[in-house]
Amino acid sequence: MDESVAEYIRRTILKIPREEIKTMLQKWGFLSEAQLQTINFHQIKDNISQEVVQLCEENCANIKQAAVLDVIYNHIYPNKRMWSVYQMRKTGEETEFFDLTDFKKKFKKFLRSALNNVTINFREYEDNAIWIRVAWGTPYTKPNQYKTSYVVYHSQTPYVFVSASMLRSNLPLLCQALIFASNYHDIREMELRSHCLNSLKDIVFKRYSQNFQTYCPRPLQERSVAPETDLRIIQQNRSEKERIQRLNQELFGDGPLPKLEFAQYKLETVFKSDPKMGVLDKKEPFRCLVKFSSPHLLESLRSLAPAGMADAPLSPLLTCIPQKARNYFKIRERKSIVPGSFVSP
Amino acid sequence: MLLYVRSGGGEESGARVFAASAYSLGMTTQSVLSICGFSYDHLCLQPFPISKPSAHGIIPSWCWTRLRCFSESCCGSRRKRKVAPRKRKVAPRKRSRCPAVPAGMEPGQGALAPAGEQQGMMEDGKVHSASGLFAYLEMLEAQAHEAAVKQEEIEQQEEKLAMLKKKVQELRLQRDELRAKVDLQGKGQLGKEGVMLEPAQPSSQAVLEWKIKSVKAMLQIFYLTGISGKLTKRGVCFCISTAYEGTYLDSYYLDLLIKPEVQIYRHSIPVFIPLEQIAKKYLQTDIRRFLSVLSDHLNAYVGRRFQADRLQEQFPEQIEGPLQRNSLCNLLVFKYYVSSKSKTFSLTARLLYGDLCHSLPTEAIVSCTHAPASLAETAAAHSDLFRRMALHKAFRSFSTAPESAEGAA
Repeated sequence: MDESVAEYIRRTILKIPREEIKTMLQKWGFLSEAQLQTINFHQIKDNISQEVVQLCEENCANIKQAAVLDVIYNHIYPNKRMWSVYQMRKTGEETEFFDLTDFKKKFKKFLRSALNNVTINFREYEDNAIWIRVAWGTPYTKPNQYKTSYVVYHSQTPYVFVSASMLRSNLPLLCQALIFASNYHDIREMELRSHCLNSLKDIVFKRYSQNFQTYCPRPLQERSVAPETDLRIIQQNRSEKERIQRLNQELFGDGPLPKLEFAQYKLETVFKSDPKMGVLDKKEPFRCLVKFSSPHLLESLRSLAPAGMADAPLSPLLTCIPQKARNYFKIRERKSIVPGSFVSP
Repeated sequence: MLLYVRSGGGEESGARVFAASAYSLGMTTQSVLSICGFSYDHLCLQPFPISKPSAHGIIPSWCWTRLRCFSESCCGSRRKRKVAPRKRKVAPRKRSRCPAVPAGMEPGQGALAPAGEQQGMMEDGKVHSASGLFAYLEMLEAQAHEAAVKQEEIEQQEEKLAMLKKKVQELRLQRDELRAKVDLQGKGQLGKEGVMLEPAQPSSQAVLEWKIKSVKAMLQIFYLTGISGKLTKRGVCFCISTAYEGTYLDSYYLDLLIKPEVQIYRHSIPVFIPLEQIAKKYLQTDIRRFLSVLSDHLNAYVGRRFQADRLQEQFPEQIEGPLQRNSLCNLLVFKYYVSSKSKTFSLTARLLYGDLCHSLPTEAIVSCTHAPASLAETAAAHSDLFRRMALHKAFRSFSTAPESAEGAA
């Protein structure tokens, strides 16, 4: 077995938390149950990884098989990578019968024709998600297994989730391969980025709980009735609080919101000051970047008004994030938001 | 046995009406008459029992027999008197002597005077010397008469009793009904009386509650039809609820704006449903068609997904490997086992759902690799089955009937 493969497996195992190593090896399925029984999973990770490498050597693992372990790891811990969303577009209207084998063949063919040294792995999951792992090399060097790109694609959808690797130069090639394999015409990057892959999926596939007005006869979610408050406390602004609550509910809905880490607003507006003050003589756009960051941005926005830190209703620039499916905005004069242009290679 | 003869003055006068009572002493009427010397030929017996025959049609042991003479020679035509008035005339006169002839006697009525009054004397005719016999007969008749009367009384009483019982039942029923009515009214009365103080409020509240209930029921009906909507501030919000073969599945929402033109503001429809295409075609022109086409797409999609899920769930042993599907569930490829002649073969099925508005495949290709030619028939049969039936049902049908597969092969 190649030294690099052994090293790669070892490093992958070291990334995994100790409690999860056994389950992940079972999912990998490369080592038999009997072999797994021989490993002591209670020692330090270094030693565990050494034992695993030894067993893999016995089974003569190659890089493709080792890569599968990497895919499994990234599938279980996707939040360690930064994902961005790309949208594909096509003009034809014919019904597509997405054939997985067809897709895989085309993708591999395209990439291999452009670049010889690539490692490509596919793995399908129950929710119709196809995980693609690509390790890039150059015509002269072997693929770099540590700087991989991941692509998650749900069949028959126009959205692709790409975890950019360091080698951004390969991104156009990757996009081309995707369009070719899935029969689309062009692709553009959406202004939506986050660490949480599932939240990105929720936003784009509209799976989060939007507040639709219906006469739905199903029982509504039990809104948490005001907890047993002390009778000695009198709420003076009860009506105001209720108004804020109602507006919040209209804007954000009741259920859990997708998890985003930041929203970035790039201002290219002219500074509007009192003419008397005349701070800026030149009527130039005042370049400014406003970034909101939070472990869970939308949840914090939802709690701004009830906490009294902002007026309700919130600015539509903040509340339109899930609906417009973007968290990078460019604010220009008069025109509020400018969408990014499509990149047609 | 008594024989009563009526005479109208001489043998040749009018119709003679003879009434005789016969007691079943073994003597028939004929014999009685022959004793009296009358020729039977002239007589027409008109029997009529006094008391009603019992339910079984058995004539009681005794009956009055009324004998009527139609013979012209006897009756003569000199006096054309009607029989009936004669009878009447005769009856009271003869009562003392011929108590057996009641006036205007109808069959079945036979109130006879008690036997005591009777005498067995015959006014006319040849009275034979057997007056003792007649006395005996008279006595017997009297007894019979008494018995008859008693019997009749008893029966009448029974009848009356039955009628009264029936009436009692009817009245009881009526009473119960009335009682129930009274109770209901009584409650209502109480209710009214209980809140006499605030007459307006409760009834209006009850009305309001009833209205709310009926409106909710109406909305529930709309929801169950599959497409329901609600007007919003800026437009309409539609809810498309999907179902497949009786199982209610997901609901999808569409928020539409009306001004400046009909457009989709937001929605929760899965991204692989070609919403933009359908909207481009129909949204501006015919919103009903738009909703119906969209509803068809959604229902078909959830139907296909339901079938694939059930297949994976219910037949895990028969499917080899994973079921390859896609987001729209319009292409399914899987391998499954078929046992034929105690050997299992694996077939590959490729189901293509060409029409997105249908939940049955347009194309079903079942192929088998390195298997006997006999299996080709089974494969063709399965292919046909997949095209006609829901997927999990098709599987159920040929997994529970392997014999037919063997028969076909």
